[in-house]
Amino acid sequence: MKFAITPVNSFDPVIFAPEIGIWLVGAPVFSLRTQPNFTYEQIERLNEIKKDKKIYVYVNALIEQHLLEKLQDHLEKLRVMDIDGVIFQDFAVYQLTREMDWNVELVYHPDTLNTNYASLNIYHGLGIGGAFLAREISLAHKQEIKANTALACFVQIHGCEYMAYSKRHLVSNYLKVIDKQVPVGVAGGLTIKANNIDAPSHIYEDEYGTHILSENVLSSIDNLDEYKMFDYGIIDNQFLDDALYCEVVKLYIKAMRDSGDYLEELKELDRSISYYKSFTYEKTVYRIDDVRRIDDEKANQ
Amino acid sequence: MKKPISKIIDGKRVIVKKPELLAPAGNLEKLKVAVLYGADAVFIGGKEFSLRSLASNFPISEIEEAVKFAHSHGCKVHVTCNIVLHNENLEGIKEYLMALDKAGVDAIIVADINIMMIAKSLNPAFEIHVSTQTSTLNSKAVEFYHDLGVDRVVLGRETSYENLRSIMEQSPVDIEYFIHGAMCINYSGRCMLSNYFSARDANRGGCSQSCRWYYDLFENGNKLNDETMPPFSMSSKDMCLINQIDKLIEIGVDSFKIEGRMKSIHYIATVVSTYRKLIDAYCEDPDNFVMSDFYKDELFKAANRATCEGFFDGSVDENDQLFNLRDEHPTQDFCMRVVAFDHDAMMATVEQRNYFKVGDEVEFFSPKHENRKMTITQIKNSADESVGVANHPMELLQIKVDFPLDVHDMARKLRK
Repeated sequence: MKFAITPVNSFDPVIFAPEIGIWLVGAPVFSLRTQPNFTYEQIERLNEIKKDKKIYVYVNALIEQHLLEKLQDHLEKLRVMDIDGVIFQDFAVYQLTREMDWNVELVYHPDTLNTNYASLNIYHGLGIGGAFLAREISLAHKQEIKANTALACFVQIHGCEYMAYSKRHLVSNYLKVIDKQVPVGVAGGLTIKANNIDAPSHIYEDEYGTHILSENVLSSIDNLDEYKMFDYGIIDNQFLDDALYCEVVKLYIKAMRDSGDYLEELKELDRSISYYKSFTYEKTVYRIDDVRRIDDEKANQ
Repeated sequence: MKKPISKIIDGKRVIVKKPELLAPAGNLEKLKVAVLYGADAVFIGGKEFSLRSLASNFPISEIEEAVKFAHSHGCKVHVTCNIVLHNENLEGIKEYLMALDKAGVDAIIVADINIMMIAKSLNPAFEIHVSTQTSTLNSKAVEFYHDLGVDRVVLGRETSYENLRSIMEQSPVDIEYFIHGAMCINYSGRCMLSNYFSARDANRGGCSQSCRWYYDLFENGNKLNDETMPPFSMSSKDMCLINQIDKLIEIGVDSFKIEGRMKSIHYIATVVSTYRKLIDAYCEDPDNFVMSDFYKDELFKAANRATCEGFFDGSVDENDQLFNLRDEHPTQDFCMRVVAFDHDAMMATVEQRNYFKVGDEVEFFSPKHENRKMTITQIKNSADESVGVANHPMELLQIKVDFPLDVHDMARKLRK
């Protein structure tokens, strides 16, 4: 496994470490939940300095019909830059790159939908080169997928986790109802917490709508060995300042080179962060019998 | 070459591309009601591979019965196979799809590409509809699915009218569009709130509707809401496009979808028959059609949340959300359903569905007749004894009526 990271500081040599395979890059448009969104000039500059790294640009918005032309212009600009990969979730991106005859590496990233190997193998047959596996499945489940597909598998190993995406401006709407005004963007420091559920979540708005992410941070630094079969481990930087993020990446590189217990060292970097394993060893249920059993267990607690 | 939407016949323009009215059915009884009250097609869930795992979905034997009943009334049956598959769900798909094919279902509604491809490999004529769970919002994505061999795409509910119109101009496959019912607040298929908050997998039918829960909102750890304010919530008003049906017909939308497999027979009968009447009236004489309050009044006789037009005009705001979950608007109570009628005695045998009594004013509605009102003057129980009240659920009773009724007619109690 190689790491996929965001090159937040091009002056920090860590971004050129041999353990890093891909730079994940947000662009001025159509990039969701990326930090920062690089300008086209900055992406060009990254492309010039990338050495053996590959640059994959997030074009992961869901695309409304009236934005197709803008999407096409955007893809044309990226093609001229000769970036290595495009991370997408809307099949308009797939269709347009095919129409443009642009042989860029395509990575399918619908956040929640990549949950079985058979479907991924079909995408592979369509010429898609990689896929982000859904976060809400267990590690064992992800391993089973990787064992049964030749598609390059990306798994998030660190960072806040995506939970939901709405076209609506949910926070602004609510603030109007309670007659308050606060910044609603990613830097606004807004969180929500459901009554009786101990899972606070980041919430913010941008031009694409509202995004909800876990406040708890997934960490795999103490079980990195279990991820070695995957192609790329994503160290996500949402809600981490750049300096801290670089330190986190360095620690993962250290853990990759010399196995050991680095969790304490990770926690030491910022004691305010709450780490968890999320769905790594947990399963979700959906059949009515399982749902009832869980409800009964909760009621009896 | 796209089919024309309207033609001049005998000097009058008529709509010749009438949209399919597609209704939900959570069980066989609801399916029959939807069919009888005017649906052109119904969608049902099977026991496997279907979302809404908490609805009473159909086993294969019932799907066969449903198909027979629907087809005998000229109605199609679509079966939802719209879960997002996990590895553990990969077994048994082929056998299940073969059973659906054998049962004669007209189409399957699918979110996972693996099910699409298996279905096409089993029977190239198997009609595949791409589920709204894919959140398809543009004509290029529609093209992608067309190239895979699908027959129809159900667009995401975030699609505005202007975007829909543009997609309709370019789509090589049928387009299905939601016209009525509940809306996900987040993009369908992309919401994991249920998974994170209750370990219930939304994309396999276990959604705990966490979006409709109450939350507190914090700014840098400081709570912004207090007891005097409604709590933060992400609950959408239901969609209702009763006032936009003419526009949707004129751009040739292939299918109008009503959401609500968990809804009651009264809701289904009311909503389906209202849209049926509206579509038929408009298509018969679009240039002289005058929209009246009748249709909206009729729709709101069924219990439902407050409604809005969703993303139809392109944007939504705080007025399209519910900040009080008790904001339901049942305007009249469903109280009985006709199961037999004696023309000579003018007595109807009815199944009690809610409390009613002698002296209550009720309104009978029917797929065949205009609404008719009367006051209950006599109720008899199965022992032929006169009773003053009907207070036993599902009890068969006889009531004296002022006009002939048909089996499957229903009655609502009018509020004073």
